[in-house]
Amino acid sequence: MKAPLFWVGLALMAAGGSRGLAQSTPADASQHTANAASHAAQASGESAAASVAIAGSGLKLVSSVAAVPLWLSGQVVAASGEVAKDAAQGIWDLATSDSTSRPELDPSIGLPPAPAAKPAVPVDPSPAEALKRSR
Amino acid sequence: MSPLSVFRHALVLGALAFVLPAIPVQAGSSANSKSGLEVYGEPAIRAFAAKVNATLYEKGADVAIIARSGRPRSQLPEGISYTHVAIVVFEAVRGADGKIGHTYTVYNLYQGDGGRDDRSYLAQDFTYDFLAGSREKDIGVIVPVDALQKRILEVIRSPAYKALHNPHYNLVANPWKHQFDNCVTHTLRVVTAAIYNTSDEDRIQQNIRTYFKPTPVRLGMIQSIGSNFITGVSHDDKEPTGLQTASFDSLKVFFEQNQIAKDTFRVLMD
Repeated sequence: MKAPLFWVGLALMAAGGSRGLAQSTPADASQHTANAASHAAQASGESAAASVAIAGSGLKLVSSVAAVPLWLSGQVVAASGEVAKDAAQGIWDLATSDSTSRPELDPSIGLPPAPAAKPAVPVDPSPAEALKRSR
Repeated sequence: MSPLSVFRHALVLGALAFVLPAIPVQAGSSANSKSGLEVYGEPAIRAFAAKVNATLYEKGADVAIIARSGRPRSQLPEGISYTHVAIVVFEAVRGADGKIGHTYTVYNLYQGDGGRDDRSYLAQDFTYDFLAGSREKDIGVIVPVDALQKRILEVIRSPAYKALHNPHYNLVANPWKHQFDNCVTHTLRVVTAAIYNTSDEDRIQQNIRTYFKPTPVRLGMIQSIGSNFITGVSHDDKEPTGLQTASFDSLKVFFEQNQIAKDTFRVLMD
């Protein structure tokens, strides 16, 4: 009588536990961070600068999108002098600019690329017609 | 171990495993939460992210608080509609082709630093990543009044943002104490620091205790006992009256009651 209950217990544990485990993959998280550093490097073209900024800001970039916020990449930083320099370069930021002058939303940034449209499948003639044409 | 104790052990573990899924252990407050992508697919999440960005922009949000549910809402305790809260900021971003444009980035506190469920880290990503972990077809949004938006950004861009973060994670962290943090309590601290223009933790804590009403966490007896065995869930900071935490719902009430919300709304997936 005890043995079946033991297996019922184990089965319940496996059924319930697997859901939790499926969501808990630390390796994935570290891979995301690695990807982020790589994307940051790719996006900024300044691999060393991007990595240093990520480490120094207290923030990790964990996106699956190949893009990097300028603030995180070190181009707009907390030091007021740097922000001022960036503002002088004409890059709008709420920290230094008025909300009323904000630029347009760029819908092409911060999203993964749209999947390429599949080429349309040609409409073929009947088998007999196809053979006739290919003779 | 005697056969009887093995049996008891297995039965207890089995029972716990059966009830624990009802408690959102990794409630979608994790960077690797991809429940939205798994359920709705990449094109739908991409379209949802584009819609969220466009809606935030149309509503005049430069800084906002957003919330997603990483689990079916039916599994969440009463009074908790979302499992992950973060701050979204409209700012300059460089794309893979080197082009600079403006879009929304997301500032998160994620569970799982170093693979440990009882530790968290601060991380930035995009609305697409945020929605990739959204199991429900909606997100909640709070847009603070303009002056507060700017102040929240000032906190984010200052050393206070990191200093306010307590890496000891608790899914049901009590906002009235700073023994633990989770994504909502950290957001609440950032907002409070911005309101009072301070990084003084005692002052922030005192104001949260005075003006913020937490969400009571009501677990059944078995769930409550079971939650003691989960890494990432602690009862150590609970009030004598029971577990309480900060949720998007209680954050929304806080904003509305104190008239510091410019707008609150939901954005729905098409």
